[in-house]
Amino acid sequence: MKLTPPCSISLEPRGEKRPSAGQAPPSLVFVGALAALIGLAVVPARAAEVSCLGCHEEQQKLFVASAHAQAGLSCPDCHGGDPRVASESAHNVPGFKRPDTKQEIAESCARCHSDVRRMNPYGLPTDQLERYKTSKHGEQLFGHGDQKVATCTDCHGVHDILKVRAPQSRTHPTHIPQTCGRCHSDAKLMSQYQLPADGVAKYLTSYHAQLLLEKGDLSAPTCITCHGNHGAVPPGAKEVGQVCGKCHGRQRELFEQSPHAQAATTGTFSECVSCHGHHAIQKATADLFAQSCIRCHAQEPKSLARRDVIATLIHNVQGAYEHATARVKEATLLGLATEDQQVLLQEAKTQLTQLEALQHTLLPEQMQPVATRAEGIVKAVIAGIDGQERNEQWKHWALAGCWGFMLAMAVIFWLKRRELGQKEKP
Amino acid sequence: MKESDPVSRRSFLDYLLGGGLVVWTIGGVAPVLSYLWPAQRQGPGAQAVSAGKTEGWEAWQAKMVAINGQPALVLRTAQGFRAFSAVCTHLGCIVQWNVQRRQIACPCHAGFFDPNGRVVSGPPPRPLTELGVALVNGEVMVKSL
Repeated sequence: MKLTPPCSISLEPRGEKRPSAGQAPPSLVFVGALAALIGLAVVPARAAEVSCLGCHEEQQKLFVASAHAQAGLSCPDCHGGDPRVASESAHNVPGFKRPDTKQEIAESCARCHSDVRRMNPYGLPTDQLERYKTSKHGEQLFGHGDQKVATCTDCHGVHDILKVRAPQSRTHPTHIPQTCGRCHSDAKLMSQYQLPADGVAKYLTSYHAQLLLEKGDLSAPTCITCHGNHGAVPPGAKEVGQVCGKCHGRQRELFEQSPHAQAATTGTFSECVSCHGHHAIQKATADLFAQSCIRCHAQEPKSLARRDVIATLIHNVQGAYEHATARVKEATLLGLATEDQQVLLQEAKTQLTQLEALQHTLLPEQMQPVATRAEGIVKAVIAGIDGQERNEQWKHWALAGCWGFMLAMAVIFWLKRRELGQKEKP
Repeated sequence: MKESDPVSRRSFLDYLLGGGLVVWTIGGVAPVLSYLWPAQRQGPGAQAVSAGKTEGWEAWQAKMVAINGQPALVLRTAQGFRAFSAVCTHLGCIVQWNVQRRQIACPCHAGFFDPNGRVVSGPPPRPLTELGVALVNGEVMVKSL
């Protein structure tokens, strides 16, 4: 078959040059040429698959579904070797490598993953190795040659690496605790670094884990949200506020106005952690006032009095909101039109949520106006429901009146009928 | 009943009967009149509510309306009208339009949404739910989901 350059086809006006009998149409010539070119291009990859597959079938099975296979990579892209040779001698060529140390693994991955041109089409960052070198893992590996620390493949897998977004990926948010826990829950391994091995177990009891694993909220924090991923470093006492503030920005902003902010700068108070803890963080409730404050202020009646004022403000508004919610729900079930009250309830909830955030200032004078507003809205809700219930009661009485009237009319009709009957008698 | 009584038993019964029939007739006619009378107020479970006239509503101005017991934010952008549920997707606070930033802001935890309802920053996990908008005789009607 004569190969025609594709450009010559595209330049020809449609229908002008009809192929004669026995001559392939230009489009078919083009397709054939393209197929031949693609065929040539895929030969090394196919050869690699075939030649490696002979001995490495297990790895091949894992690799097929991986993100790298989807991107068109094959064995020699990482390992080198001669893919045309289907025997062990394929390894005996310059450039063949099987990374032996964890440093080599990190550097091998970085050959592509630090290459901006190669990563651009995938929109992937290229600073992972540099970040990794700043992490505790990287410091141990590159600084001390410690082969027990995690490198790329420990978290991402080896042949079966998946994209982070893939639900089965080891680095998907829902699998992160498990992935980190492989090492960080190993008490024997962690004891060598004087690190606790209960972080992941505690995290799994936390409200964050509940959001992530039970409610499926993928924006809920995992280990890497606070500790970082490639540049994983435990946040120091002074950085905790910034770490939590990434998500809880408003609370952090309000905390800065509190007397605790000053204590945090002097290092006597660890922002957020002092009251909320860290790995086993629970959903904050009013109980926290009873548990946390006394740890530092047990002997300070003035501080405890302030705590009581703040707790009472929140408690009262919460109670009023819950009562109003129950009344609206009850009224809705009774068939009353509660749309206006539902909107007001939403507004009350907004005020209550703002009040809960404002407690981080520890300033009752800032909280009081919001609490007053919330209570005012709740009162309006209750008044609206009371009004509707009064109307409903009135309607019941009116209905009783109607029934009475109908009964009276029936009696009158009966009397009239009897009277007419008597009149007709001779 | 004596003859001298001003109202005899018979006529008393007739009065009652007549009065009752009048009340009965009124009771029957009133619903018919009320049906024929033009509707004056919005009943519960509305499918669409008016957010006001388009006239005088400038670009990048927003209004709040209530639809089926839920607050909604109606915004006029340069391209037209958009309506979103005003309930923040984080913890359910009512969001507000911030005209200076041209963003929808949640006052509770500083969540921000762009004029398309997409999360710009802060803790909200999802965009705001968009509601339908229709322009009917120069009036902006917001449709419930």
